Amino acid sequence: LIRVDPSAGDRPATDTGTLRFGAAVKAQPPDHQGKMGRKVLIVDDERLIRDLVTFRLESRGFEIVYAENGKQAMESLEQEKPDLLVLDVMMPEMSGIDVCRAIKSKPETRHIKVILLTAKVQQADEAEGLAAGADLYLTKPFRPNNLLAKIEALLTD
Amino acid sequence: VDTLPDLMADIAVGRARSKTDRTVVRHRHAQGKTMELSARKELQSRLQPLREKLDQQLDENRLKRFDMMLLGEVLTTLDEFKSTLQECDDQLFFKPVEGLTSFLQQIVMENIVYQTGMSYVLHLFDLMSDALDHYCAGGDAIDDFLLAFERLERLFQGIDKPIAETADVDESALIQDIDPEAAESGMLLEFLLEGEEGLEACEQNLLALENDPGNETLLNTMFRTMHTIKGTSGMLNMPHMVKLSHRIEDLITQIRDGNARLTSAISDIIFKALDSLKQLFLQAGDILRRSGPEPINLARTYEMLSDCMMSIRSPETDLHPPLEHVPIKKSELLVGDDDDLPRLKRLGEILVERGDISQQTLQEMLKAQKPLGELLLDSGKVAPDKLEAALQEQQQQKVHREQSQKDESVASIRVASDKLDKQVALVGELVTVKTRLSQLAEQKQDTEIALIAEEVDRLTSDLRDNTMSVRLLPIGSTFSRFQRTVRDLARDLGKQIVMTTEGEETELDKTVIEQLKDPLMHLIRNCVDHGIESGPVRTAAGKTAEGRIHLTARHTGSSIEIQIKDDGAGIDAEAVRKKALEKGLISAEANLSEKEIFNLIFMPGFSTAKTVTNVSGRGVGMEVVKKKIEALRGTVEIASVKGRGTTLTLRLPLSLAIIDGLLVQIGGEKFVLPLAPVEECVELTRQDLKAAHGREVASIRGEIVPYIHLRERFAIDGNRPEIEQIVVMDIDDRRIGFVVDYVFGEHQTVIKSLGQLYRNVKGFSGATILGDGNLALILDVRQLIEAEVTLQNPAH
Repeated sequence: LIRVDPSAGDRPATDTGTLRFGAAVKAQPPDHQGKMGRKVLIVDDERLIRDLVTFRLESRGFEIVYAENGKQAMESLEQEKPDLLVLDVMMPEMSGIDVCRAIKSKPETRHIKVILLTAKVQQADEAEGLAAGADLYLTKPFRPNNLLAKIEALLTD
Repeated sequence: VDTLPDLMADIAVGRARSKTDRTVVRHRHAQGKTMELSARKELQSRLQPLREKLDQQLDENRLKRFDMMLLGEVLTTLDEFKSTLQECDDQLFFKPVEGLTSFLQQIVMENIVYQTGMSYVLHLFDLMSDALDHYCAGGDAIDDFLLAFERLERLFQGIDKPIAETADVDESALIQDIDPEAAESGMLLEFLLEGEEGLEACEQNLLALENDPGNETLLNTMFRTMHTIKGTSGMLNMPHMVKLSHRIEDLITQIRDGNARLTSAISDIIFKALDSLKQLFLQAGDILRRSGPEPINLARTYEMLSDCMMSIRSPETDLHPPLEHVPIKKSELLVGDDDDLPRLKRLGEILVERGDISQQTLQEMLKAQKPLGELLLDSGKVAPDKLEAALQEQQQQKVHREQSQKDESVASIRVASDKLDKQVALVGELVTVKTRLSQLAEQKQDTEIALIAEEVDRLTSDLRDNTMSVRLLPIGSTFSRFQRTVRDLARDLGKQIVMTTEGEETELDKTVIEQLKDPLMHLIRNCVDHGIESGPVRTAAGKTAEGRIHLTARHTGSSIEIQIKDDGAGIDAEAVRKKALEKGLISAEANLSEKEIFNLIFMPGFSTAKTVTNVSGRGVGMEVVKKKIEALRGTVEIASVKGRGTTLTLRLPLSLAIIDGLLVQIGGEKFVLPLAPVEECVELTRQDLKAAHGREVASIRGEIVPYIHLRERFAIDGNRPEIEQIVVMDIDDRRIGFVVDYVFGEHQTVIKSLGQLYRNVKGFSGATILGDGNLALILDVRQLIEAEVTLQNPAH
């Protein structure tokens, strides 16, 4: 299993420093191709997953922000105002299900699309996720191309 | 230096880290031949079906959890893919596909987390597909893709350790991270319980393997256990458990595949590794319960494991000596054993099959042939007792196997023990209420109520018995744990000891079993450490060099008896007496029976390790053992013949919560006596008292039975009734009476322990609430007798 210290990344030191202290931060300068309203918050405690999602989305002009756990995600919502969350379920601090429920229960955040991306593959888990208000439930391993397509579809709705 | 995740990330995105990299790749491509457009078209059409197949297979994997078979299919298709590329004389895609293959192999070997790894594979595959389309359509802009795979290749060339190890973890002081999600789900708890059981089974199998090194069934069972632990811990995000179980699994595989022999050195290493794994389990349990976890040192374990693997891989440096003694194979001992294990064909079978001899000839010859045991005996190669020992061991293995097969087939469900505790408590309440109902029915003289009361009575007893039996567990698992202790300890001390067990199926309350582990362990350790002499000493004394410890469990009425018997040095009663005298525990003129002397060992302050080693070798912490057993309302007894061995007998109640009692009255007070030892109740009249001349004995059908007058003992005021009752009991083969005013009859008793203040009062094992809400004390007859002896014999 690979556990990664986020500071070991190749991003500018300022970014990783902030990551460590818990706030969601901007990653690489996004490709600005006039596609505003395409801000995605990736919430996963595993950096390799965050990276993989980033790679697939980056070149498509998404603006990407990160959080490492549910609590961070909640904290950054107001400031970042993302349009969509790619949300892991099993995370320390606050689970993805709880985050999703919190987002979908508040009128001011209800519009944010939520994709749960999780290693929990049981039907009951999926049911729980959808009951929490998730727009989509995807299991890991996932196909990044597939995820991209779903995100595009959700954001053009 | 690039960190691994960085490299992986770069591979996935195909992002060039520097211009130099990109140039290098370009340069290399320029050197390789690029194909004509027609050849590219040809390549595309030939690869198309394989691409589709891969696409489908990968997607199938995506929808599953880790599935070795499915992953294997992908690897096969990738191989086909590679050979097609070769046939088409491709220079560009072969290496990347090879890289993808080895990446996938790492996933198969579980060096990379499946969910993450497979996501990357899917991404890489899609990248490759795009690049392939682009290339086959005549394009050449596939640098980023190729660069990604260059990096991948470089990555795996540099890795000779699994990726998991590159995580920066201090293995000498490890505290695991527990995934809170997993902890909450309850899955973790279940896994911990199952895992510990699995480990125990593994230990047993390993012990059995030492006597039967080639037994594939045992090896496979161990392999499966490790594999399950690995799989589940992976799912629960417990990397260290994954890693360690993986290593053990590897080692077992080497042995199973015949690449290594299970030498004693290797089995020691597996034992140590299993211990480490158990530590991980215990630590996870601690973390789960939020009690401070102890750091674990795994560094040494890993070192041993990898040393061991290295020596297996380079067979010329076989540093490990074979097992000291070659055990006699069971198939050689018994004629007609009926086990269903895969085995080699016997010579006779082969000859018959080949038609070289007829079945009849074979039968005749076999009939004439004596069993190996007899042959060995006749030729004097083996002493009769040795043979007997081997036969016993064989029998035991057989029993063990039958037992474990039986265990597997019994369907069972796992229930949290606090639920059972709750149920026992509820049944206890019910019993109390039932008693009230019965009493009411009796008072009212109402037949209808009496009928219902009877029915309730019956059902309650059934329910009680059933509830109790649910809590009962066979003691076997505890016994097998001791096997390991004896083995390790004997090896450390350089002694040869065989421990045999009997009555593993005997059932005991779970709580009792748990509480019993430590004291039993202590006693057995004592046996090995001090009881059994070293080989030369034994031989000199005319005994077999190999010491024996026999552990038995059996039911005796409402109690269970556990016996630890050794054929060691025994206890020197005189030495014990001297020591006790020195310590001021007894007076010089005390006239003690041998049994009483042995019991001195259990007295507080009798011994420290130093004083006992040269006395008798027993006594270390025996006081503690006795206290623990007594806390379980049990007794411990010691018998020994100097030079011949020692037998320790533990008697314990079956259950801790409810007993069958005899309700009696003395003055205004009610008491409960344990029903099990009661033989009869007889009357004691004034005349009888006179006949005995004031001595507290009664003549019952000609036999003199001493009794304890409880009214006097408890100094209860009031007059003795004309006719009293003697409750005659059989305690340790001695008849003894307890005189009370009146006997009510049988009474199911829910035991409540006494409060702190009264806990140390001798003679009472607890109290119970009667149907009318009053309290009755439950008498501990053994303690009462002991106290009586002390009263009459103030010397102790």
